[in-house]
Order: sequence, then C-alpha cells, then structure tokens
Amino acid sequence: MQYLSLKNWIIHIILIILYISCKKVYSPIQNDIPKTFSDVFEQYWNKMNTNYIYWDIDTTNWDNIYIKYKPLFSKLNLDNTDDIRKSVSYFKEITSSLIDGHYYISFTLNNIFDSFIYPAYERKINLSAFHNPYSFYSVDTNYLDPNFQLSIDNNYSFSGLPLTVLYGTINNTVLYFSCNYFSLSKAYYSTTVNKVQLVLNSFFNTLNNLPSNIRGLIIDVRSNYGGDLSDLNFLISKFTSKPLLFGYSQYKVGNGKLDYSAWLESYINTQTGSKLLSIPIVVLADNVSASLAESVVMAIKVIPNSTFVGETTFGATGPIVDDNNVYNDGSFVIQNFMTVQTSSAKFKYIDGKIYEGKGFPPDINVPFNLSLLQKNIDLQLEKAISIFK
Amino acid sequence: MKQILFCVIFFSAVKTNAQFSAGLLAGYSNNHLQIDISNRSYTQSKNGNNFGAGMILSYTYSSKIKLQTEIDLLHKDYSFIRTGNYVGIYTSYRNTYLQLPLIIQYKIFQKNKWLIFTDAGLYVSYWIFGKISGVMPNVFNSYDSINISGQNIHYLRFTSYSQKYQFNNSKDNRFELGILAGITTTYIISKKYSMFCNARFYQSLNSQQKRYSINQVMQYNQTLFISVGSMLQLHN
Repeated sequence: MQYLSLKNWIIHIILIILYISCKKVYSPIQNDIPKTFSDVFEQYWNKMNTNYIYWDIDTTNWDNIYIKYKPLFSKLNLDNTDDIRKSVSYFKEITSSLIDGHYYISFTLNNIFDSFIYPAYERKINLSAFHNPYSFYSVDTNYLDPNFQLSIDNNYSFSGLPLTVLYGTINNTVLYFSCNYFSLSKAYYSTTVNKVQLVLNSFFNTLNNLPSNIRGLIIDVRSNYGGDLSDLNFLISKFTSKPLLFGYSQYKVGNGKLDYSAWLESYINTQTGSKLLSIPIVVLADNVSASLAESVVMAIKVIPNSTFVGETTFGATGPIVDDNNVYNDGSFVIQNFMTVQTSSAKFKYIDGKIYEGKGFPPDINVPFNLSLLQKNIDLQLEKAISIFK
Repeated sequence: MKQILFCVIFFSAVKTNAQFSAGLLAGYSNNHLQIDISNRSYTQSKNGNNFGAGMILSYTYSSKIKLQTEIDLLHKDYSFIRTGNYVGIYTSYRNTYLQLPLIIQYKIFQKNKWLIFTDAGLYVSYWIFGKISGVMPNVFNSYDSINISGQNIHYLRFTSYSQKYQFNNSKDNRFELGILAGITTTYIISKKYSMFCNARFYQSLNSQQKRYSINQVMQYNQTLFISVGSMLQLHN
C-alpha cells in the first residue's frame, strides 16, 4: 500500500513536470493595430520596455509610468479628437526625462499628424547657452583664402537643408573642411557627377600630398546633425594609418529590460592608402552637433595632437540603424498611431564614459556668439586658427 | 542553504544500520530555455549541449525504494540564433550550476543483476558561473565597398565576443528551485559495486530572471541530463 502511494506520487511528479514543461511562457508584446487607447499604451509601454537601450542608466522609472498612465489612457477614447490630443500631452510627460538624444515620436494618426515629441530638444532649448543651428559657412568663407571650394547640393538634403561642404585654406597654412550633414560618401561614390565629389577630391588630394606650408587641419562639424554612419570611416580613415579604437558599443540581446550584449570595440577602419596625418587637428563642434557629428568629434579626439574647440555637443551618441531587424531593438512602430525613433545601440567612449544626454565636452570652450557672427566674426574658428600659430 | 540543511538532517536521522552507498556520475546535459521570443524577428532559441558531473549519496530504504541526494556541477546552456538574412548572428550563454537534488527512486523492474528505477524529486541549484559569447554586427566597425553599379555599400563587420558573464543583482535569479523526474538502470557488479545509467529531466519552477519589471517575459531552464556512474556500498 505504501509502495502504491509512492508510485502514485512519482506519477504525479511526472505529470506535473509534463504540464509545466509544455505550458507556454507568455509574452505581452503585440503588433496588432490597437483598437483602444489601452491597447496603444500597452503596446507602447511594452515595446519601450523591450527595445529602449538605456534602461540601465536612464533614471526614468518605467514601472511607475505604467502604474500612473495605464488608468489614464484607459479613460481616453480613440475616436475622440480631444482625447487623441490629450494622449500627445501624456506621451510628452512620459518621455520627458528619457536620456536618449535621438528619441523622437511622430504620429501617424490624422488628427495629430503635425505633432511630435523630442524630449532631448525640449530640455536643451530651456538652457540659456542653447542656440539654433547656424549656417557658419556664410561667415567662414570670409576667413578662407580666395580659392576655397563650396558645394551646396540639394540632391543630398536633410530636413530641407542642402548638403553644404566647404573646403579651403586659411592664410595658406591651415586646411579647413566643414559639412552641415553627413552624406559625403553617398555623394562621393555617386555615379552622377556632383560638386561634392570635386570638393572632396581636392581635400583628399591635399591630405595625400600635404604641402610643407600646412601646419594644421580644422574639421568643422558645428550645427551638423549627423547622417550616414558610413561617413565616419570614410572621413576619419583619411587621418589614420591603423585601425583607431575610439569606444565601445552595446546592444539588446533579449526581451528583458537589462538583457545586453557585451561591449564591442568601436573602430575607425583604415582604407587602402590611408596614412597618419602628420599635422595637428582641431575639431569644431557646437551644442547642436549631434549623432554622427559627435562620433566624428570623439574619433578625432583619439588621434594624437588633436583639440576640440567649441561647445559641449548635443548628446545623441547612440547610433540608429535603418533596419530594426538587425538588433531587434531601438525604433518601433505602433500601427496607425505612432512611430518611435530611438537608438539602436549604446555608445561608451574610450574613457569609459557614456555621453548620451549630456554631450561631449570641448577641450577649449568658446560659446556661440550670434551678434558677432552677424558681424562676420567667428570666435570659435578664430580660436581654432590661433592654436596653429 | 535551507535545502542543504534539510538534506543533512534527513540523512542523519535515518537508522544507523541503513544501507548507504556513495558514487560518482558524469554525463551529457541538454538545456532548453523556456521563453517566448516570438516578438524578436528572425530569432530562434536553441538548446545548449554540454556536460555535468557529480557525487552521489544514496540510502536504501527498502528493497524497492532508495533515497538519494547529489552534489552536481551541471551546465544549463542556451543560445539565441538569428535566421534569414541575419544568419551568423547569435548570443550564447554557458551557465554552470551547483545543483543539489533530493530524489526518491522506486524500483519498477529487476531481472538478475539488472534493476530499473523511476526517479522523482526536487532540486535546488545555484548559478555559480556564466559566460556570454556571440557574434554581433558592430555598428562602429564597418567597411564600404563599391558595387558593379558604382554605388557605395556600407557593411557592418561581424564582431565576436566571449567573456565572463557579469551577474546583475537586479536581474539575475541565481537560485533555482525545481522538480525532476527520470529513470535509472543499474547493474550490480558485486556486493559492493554497481554501475548505472540515468536519464533525468529537471524543470525549473522559478524564472532565471527576477521579476524586476512589469510585464516581464520570464524564462525557465529545462534540462535533460543523461549520465553514467558507479556506486560503492558503504556498509556490509
């Protein structure tokens, strides 16, 4: 009798194991078209919980957001225009402290099509030192020797602004190169002849056959929002003869908020014919230099004998890749409602610090001065030039 | 610790003339992570194959029932592999657990020196070591190539990594509690020695991750351990 009950007990254990092992683990993440505001919020919150790359360093309490806003969204009606507008203000509150400098929500629903949420920008415009992007080239051409080359190309525009590339010399002793957006390699390798190619060829030819009178190089990425990732290697490899380690990147590898890959080394890789630039480099950036422009600044700073002049950069250092399937993290969509842009990877500079949301600080701080710029005086550029004297 | 204490008390309390035997075992482990990753595109969860080894202390309660405990070092590995256009990308976890099962073995068959037992019981284990490795497309390690149309194509280099897993107290649940079932076949070599072959399935009852977030997708280890070993009778 005792054996029989034990036998039953063993059978029960086996049945329990079978039941538990076959039971499906539930994932809350849905991709269906939301039918209610509760669906919208639930889907948004879950996708953020899974995709957002900064949960280990972001101070936003995401669980508290759920507890506070889930009941508020459940009171909203997806067919009511006032409620739809109210949801935008809720999303603004929810995202206000997210550190991701790339974080941007655009809405696809008709009633709020013109609304957007850009938390990093909202925080920056409240700072006294913050300024709007400025077209420095109009002032800086006055500092260049007369044979400078300027390309303004509408075929490679960003946010309605044409790709503007400027190259020249200053007092025949300093090379100067600037661009307002990174689409250089795309233009350079285009089969359609364009002026960007001519400007870049002149610049690269000079770098390859550096005249003895040239004492330094200024790379100007002020008011540059970033752009194509391929431009990082394309440009910086011209200044180094061996792979340049400048930081580390990390990715999400699971559904958990804190499921991360190891930190992978970030390199600038050399190209055929790359050689170490023998002259010092000054990189100019301002507080609207963002994304790839910040990567360019940080990469240049790893090259010996380089100086960063200007203002602390914007603080959007985590890259974004176009294909969200590559990492299964970053940007996502709530069908028929919103598109959320967020970084695909976290970037840690070679000094071990993460500058996301803070910006990369200059070696020599020279504030933006609009009134002097309007008088054709560029103090930041003048400071850069003075370093080579 | 409570479970270890229970085991010590249990074996101390049994009658002194009991039939104790001790032994060693080693074998192959196959671990499956019970998780839902259906939201992760082109991604599959893959079982991990590795090994385990341990020491056994067994008490023969009667001709049909044995009570057994072990101290095992057991790998519970798993990986996530990418499919489709993303083949080659993966994340692999090699996790070593120190495991202490409490098992009741019930004899269901005997012919001459061959015996077959069914095993059932509970186990507790502690995640003592982890290693994470993988291959990722590195966004900041890329190269460009011109295709035959003259267009510049940007490629992300695959970067491999392998390093010690850094435990995160907020996230990782290093204690695992579960139930087990299995089957053991034993061959009695002599009065003192026997050999056995064992297949056991361990089902974790608690997630490998702590509940640190609302709506968290939990994950449970399911481990098949096939081992061989030998036992030594400690009493005449």
